[in-house]
Parts: sequence; structure tokens; C-alpha cells
Amino acid sequence: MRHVLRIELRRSPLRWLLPLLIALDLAMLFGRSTWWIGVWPEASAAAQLPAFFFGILLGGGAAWTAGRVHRAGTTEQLAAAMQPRWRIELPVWLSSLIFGLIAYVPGVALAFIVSAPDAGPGFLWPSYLLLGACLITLSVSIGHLAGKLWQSRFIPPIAVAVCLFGQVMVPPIRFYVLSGHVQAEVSPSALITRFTLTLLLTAMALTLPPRQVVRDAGWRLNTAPIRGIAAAMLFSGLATVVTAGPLLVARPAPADPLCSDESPRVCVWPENRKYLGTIDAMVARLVALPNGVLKLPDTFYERGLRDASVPEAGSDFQILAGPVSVPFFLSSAVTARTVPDCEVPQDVEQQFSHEVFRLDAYLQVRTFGNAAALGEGGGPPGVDIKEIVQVIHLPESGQADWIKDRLTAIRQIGANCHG
Amino acid sequence: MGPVAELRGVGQGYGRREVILDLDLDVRPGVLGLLGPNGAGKTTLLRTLATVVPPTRGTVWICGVPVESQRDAQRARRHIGYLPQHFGFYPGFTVHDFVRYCAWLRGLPDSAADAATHEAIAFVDLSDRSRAKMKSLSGGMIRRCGIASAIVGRPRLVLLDEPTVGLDPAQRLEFRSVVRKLRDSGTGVVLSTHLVEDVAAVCDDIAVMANGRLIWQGDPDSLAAAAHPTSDGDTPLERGYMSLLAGLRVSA
Amino acid sequence: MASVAATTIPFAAFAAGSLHSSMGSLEQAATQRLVRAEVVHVVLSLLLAATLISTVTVVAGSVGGAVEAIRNLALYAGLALVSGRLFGRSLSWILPIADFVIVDFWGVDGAHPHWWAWQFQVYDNGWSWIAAGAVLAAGLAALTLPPRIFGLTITRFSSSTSTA
Repeated sequence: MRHVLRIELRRSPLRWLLPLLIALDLAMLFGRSTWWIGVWPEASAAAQLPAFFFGILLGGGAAWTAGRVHRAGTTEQLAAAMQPRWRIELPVWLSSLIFGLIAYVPGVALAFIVSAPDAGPGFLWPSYLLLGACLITLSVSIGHLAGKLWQSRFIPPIAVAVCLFGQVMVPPIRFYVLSGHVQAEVSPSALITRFTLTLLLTAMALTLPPRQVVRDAGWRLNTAPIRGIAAAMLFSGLATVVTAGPLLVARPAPADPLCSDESPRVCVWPENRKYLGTIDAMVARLVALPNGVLKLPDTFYERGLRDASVPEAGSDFQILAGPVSVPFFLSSAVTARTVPDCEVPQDVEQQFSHEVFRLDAYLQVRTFGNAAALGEGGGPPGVDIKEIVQVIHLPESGQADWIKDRLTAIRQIGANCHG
Repeated sequence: MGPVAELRGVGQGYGRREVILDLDLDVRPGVLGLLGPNGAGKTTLLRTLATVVPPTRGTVWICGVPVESQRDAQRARRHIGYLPQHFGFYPGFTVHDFVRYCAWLRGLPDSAADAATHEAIAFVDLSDRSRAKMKSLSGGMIRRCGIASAIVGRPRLVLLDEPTVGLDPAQRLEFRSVVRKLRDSGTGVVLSTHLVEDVAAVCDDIAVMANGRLIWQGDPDSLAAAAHPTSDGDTPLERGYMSLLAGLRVSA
Repeated sequence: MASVAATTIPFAAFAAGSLHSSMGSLEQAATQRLVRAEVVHVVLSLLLAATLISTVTVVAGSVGGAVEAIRNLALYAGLALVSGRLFGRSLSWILPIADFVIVDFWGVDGAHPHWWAWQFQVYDNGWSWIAAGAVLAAGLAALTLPPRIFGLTITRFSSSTSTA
């Protein structure tokens, strides 16, 4: 069969699609964001995601390839073959799969190469890569099956697109993840059930005879139950995937989180090591404010390192799409400690909030180093960003005075303030 | 030499429509010409011999082994080369790819398939075009490729369904020489056609079918001898064939 | 957002792909009457699809979504017709799906679609309608050109030929 596989690889129409698939893979990997670089699970998830998108084109191509039986009219010759049906289908299916995997590998390799310098020891997480490979196999199998079952030339690719994009609307049967934040990992049971469903679809793609063959095949007395059984198995497989639970589940906190030596300390998940210096620098900017104007915790923890039952764990920082999200959390943690606890009469609630928001916005900008922390046109409601930027450019003592003024104003607006 | 294929009491049909009725036939080494008007059941008979469809009645023996199940059929196919009337090919394949692929379909082991492929391509005199894409070939060359695909691995029974349709006179002459070579190699060939001159040129034995029945079997000389003086036809064989069909109409 | 855009693709590809004919080689020699018939066929198919999609979307409770679906149908139909012209009518699906893959991945910046992600714009975005109309017009214009019998190759050796 190796020789036939070589023929299929050399002559597959997918060979023309391959450069496009590779280009799409790499463009999707690097063309939208690069914050995933240097964090193994994020890089793994990023390398996996393009498979979902190019899988649609790959599935369409697999459908086109499998449909050649109808286009070329080789049904009769294949019906007279000594090889069993599945062996005839196998090299065709396998060639489509190989093209899909060839398109997938450069993205994976590049994700590894660009991540290795920052991510430290380790490797891309196999579970995400397997998920991507599983999705590619699923795309090829759905495409192969559709191309084989429908004689129409354009219904199979559309059916493939509907099947694959259907996942967008039905999260429990998704075969992809959008990101691989360090607090989560691919659930083994979810991965196994998806792998099993993929195997089932592959078996169907290889063994289910095309309709024309069913019509002609007299050696088996009745082939109708085969399709019925296949449909029932497919339904059961889908149900199993749904009941296997979410694709991503929470990881247990590491026994030894990675912490800075400075005070206050910053602790992150070991996989997020590349952010430790950046976040430490953010905290250092807060510490640098003179006169102890801010009250900082002893340690800033990344979300998930502390048990959720710890009262302050809810305000632990999260790294979402890079470190730009961190100032928001750090500011919240500092504001919660620094701003006095006051009773706020309803008629001054807005005024009180405004002062807190100004302080919060300032802290975010101070932490990040520039106004990009607030996002494009962002920042707390009603805050004059220009004013915040002006404050940032004051000398350190001037900034400390501005903070004191805000705290004084807050105490004056509120009643019975403590702390 | 014993028959390479035997049919005993074979019936065949699609749904309620009977296409072959109670047919007995032996296929021996040499060329058996299968003549008959459109709808006589020739293609169905060849599909039955190719084990693509099982008979609804009776038994088919291939190389002395009865074919009674899918498993038997797949074993028997090792000995059968079948060129359907509407045979397909993948246009991106080269001649070598196509014949090699068909060798694999036939179940030839990798160790033997390459040599068999070269041999089959040489047999139909296409060695110099073996790297050419199928889509670049002329109709006659494509038909020769089809024959190569049917004979690759030297099957003992070769079934050719209307192989000369669409060929120009020169290509038909080439085709006949290929069939003669097959005959000389001891292969049992069944050549289904409605072109009497092809049968006259290459066949050792002739079977005439009409309405799903075998109405006559004998050698070409006997068929020519059966000609009625007033029958239509330009050659003795054509007149013999037309006489048989006319006789059938009269008896009906 | 993506779902509203995606659901119209099969309808658009079906409308354009249904122009594929096994008599394509014969139809190359047809008069303008065939072209007119094909335009009518496409327009009627699209009207039927628009009615179906918009009815279902309105029943589901989104009048705006129904209007967006009609615009997206026009956009994808135009792309499908151009695709059919470029690659052959049975491959009408290539451009709509390629477009969707690209726009779905890169078309949204945070919460806002880029100006060129027309299928993701809200229904009252005038430019998206102009773009959809232009793409549909381009598709219909492509339809009036003689069809390319892309990859017309004999793949079945018999007295008749077929396209591959």
C-alpha cells in the first residue's frame, strides 16, 4: 500500500492547497497576536487554533478528493477490486490527512522555536497539540465521508463547513480552544472522547460504502442496517462527548509557584515566568511612590495560586492576552487596601465613585507605565484621561500629593470612614 | 485445458426485471466473443463474471472455485481482469500510476506489482508514454491503458466490455493485435461487443445473447454458415448474426 | 455574529453551485437566452433563500439579524458566483468559505468589526450594503461571461464524456 499512498500523495489535488494551508496556519498563528509567545500552554493553544480554520478548507479538499470516484466514474472498477472497501479508501484518506498534518507541523514547530527562549524549560503541551491533530483528522474524515456519500460536487464541502462551524454554536462539542491560560488544561476525558469520536468518524469514512455501491452490492443481503448502526453510533459518540464535560478544566495550583525576591513579592504560575519581571516592575512603580501613600499587600498572587476560599483570592491578578490586563487587577488590589472604608450616602455616591475611579485610573497608568493600560478610549467612566496623564508626568512627590488629595476627598465625601 | 470460468443455471436481475435467464456458459483459454443487441444482457453477464454482482440464481465458478459469498468473490478477483464499458480514471494519474493502482486493486503484492505494471504497459505498447498524464492521452491510448489495467498481473480471465467503442479504425486494429497477444498467452478473454468485425478478427468462439438468453454458441465459421441468403449484412459473419436475430424475432 | 454570517454561506453556494451542468460543454455554444435564464435562476434561488432565512430569523426574534442575513446572502452569493467563474461552478464554495475563514479570524478587533468585515457590520451600516451590492453585481457580471469548463477532461472512457 505504500506505493499507492505515494501515488495518492503525488497526485492529490490537496497538494495545490498545501501552500495555502501552510500560509493560513502561519498567518493565523502570528497575524493576530503574539502575546502567547513564551508561555508553553498559550503557545500550544495558539498552535492548535489555526487547525480549526484551515480544517474547513482541508475538509472541503478531502471531500473533493474522495468525490473523485463519482467524478471519474471509477465506481465499477472499485466494485470489482480484490481489495476490501476500507483498504481502497485508506490511502486516499491518509493522503488528505498527511497534507493536513504537514500544514499543521510548521505552525507547531515555529510556536516552539519562538517560545523556547522566554518560556524556559519545557515543551509545548501535547494535549493541545493532540487536540489540533484530532481536529485535523476529524476535518479530513468528515470531508472524506461527505465526498463519498454525496455525488454532488458542491454539497460535500458545504456540509463539511456546516459540520465544523457548527461547533462554534455548540460549545459542548467543540474540538478547539481559543486560548490556553495557565490555570487550565485539556481534560483527559474530554480529549479521549473526542479522539474516540474522531476514530468512529474515520471508521465510517473508510468503511461506509457509497450509495451507488449499496444499490449494486448484492453480496450483502441488506446494507441498510450498516447506515442505521453508523448513525446510532455517531449519535452515541456525540452524546458521550457532551457528557464528558468541558474541554478545559482547572489545573491544581503548583506546589512551588514562581515568586520574585522583592517586597512586595509577585508570584506567578511557573509557566508564566516570562511575565514575572514585567509584573515585578509594575509593582516596583507602585512601591516607588513616596511617603507610604499606598497600602500594598505583602504578595501579589496570580489567579489560581491561592485557594478560592481565601478572602482576597478573588482579586488576584490575571494575565489575559498578555500583561496589559495586570494593572487593572493590581490597581484593584491596592485600591481595596488604600481607599478607606466609608459609608456613602446615596446623594454623593456618584461623587465618591468618581474620586475612586480617578485614583484607580491613575494607579493603572502608573503601574503599566503609560495610558495604554486603560485601552483604546478606555478607563473608568467619567475619568479625564488627560488629567491622569498630566499627573503621571509630575515628580514623584507631586504624584503622592495628588493621591493624598484623592484620599482626603474620599474621606470628606464619605461618612464614618475607617482605615 | 479446463474452463477458467463456468456459469451454471445463472439468473440475474435488478428488482423484478430479469436480465439473464438460466444461462450456462464455459469460458476457456482463448477469446470468446459475446455478441448481442443492446439490452441482451451482455454487460450484466460480464458484471456477473467479474463478481461485481452475485447471480440471483445458479452458480459461477472462477478457476474451478464456486463464488458464493463476498469473501469468495474477493478471492476470485485475483484471477479476473475487468474493463467496464464506462471505465473511469483519475486524470492526474500517469499511465504508470493508473496501471500500478489497478495492480494494487487486484491485490498484487508490492514485490510483484511494479514488474507486472511495466509488463502490462509494454504489452499495450505504451512504455514510451508511461510517465504521461492520463488526461493528455488520446482516446485510443486511454483504451489501451484500460486494457493494461485489466491484464496487469496476468489474470486468467479478462473481461472486456465494448472495448472498441469510440476508437478509430487504426486504433481498432491496434486493439485487435493486443487481444490476439492475450489469446496467445493462454488467457481466457470474454469480449463483449456489437461489432461483428471485431469478433471475426480475434475470436475463437462466439456466444450470441438475446433477451437475457444464450441463443447460440459456436466458432466464427459456424456463425457464418448459419447465414440466411436473404439476411442483411456485408460479411458472412454479419449475415449469420442477423439471421440468428431474425430467427428469434420470427419465433417470438 | 459569526453564526449570522455563516448560515447564509450554504444558501449562497447552493444558489451559485446549482448552475453547474453536466452539459456545460454543450452550453458553451448557447445563445444569450441561456445566460438570461441563468440570471433568473440565480435571482429566484437567492430570493427563495432570502425569504427562508429572514423568515426563520424573524421568527427567532431578530428583525435586525434577518436584514443582516439578507445582506450577507447577497455578499456571499456574489463571491460564490465569482468563485464559480474562476474555479468552475462546482467549486463555487471556495471563495465564500475562504472569505469567511479570513474575516472570522481577523475581522474583529476586540469588540468592533473592522470596516472591511462587511458581514459582521450591523444592519444599518450603509457601506456594508454598498459592498455587498457591489460584490453581488460583480458576481452577476461574471455570470454573464461564458462559463469556463474548468478541468474539462475525459475521465470516463465511453461514448460520452464528462467533466472532472
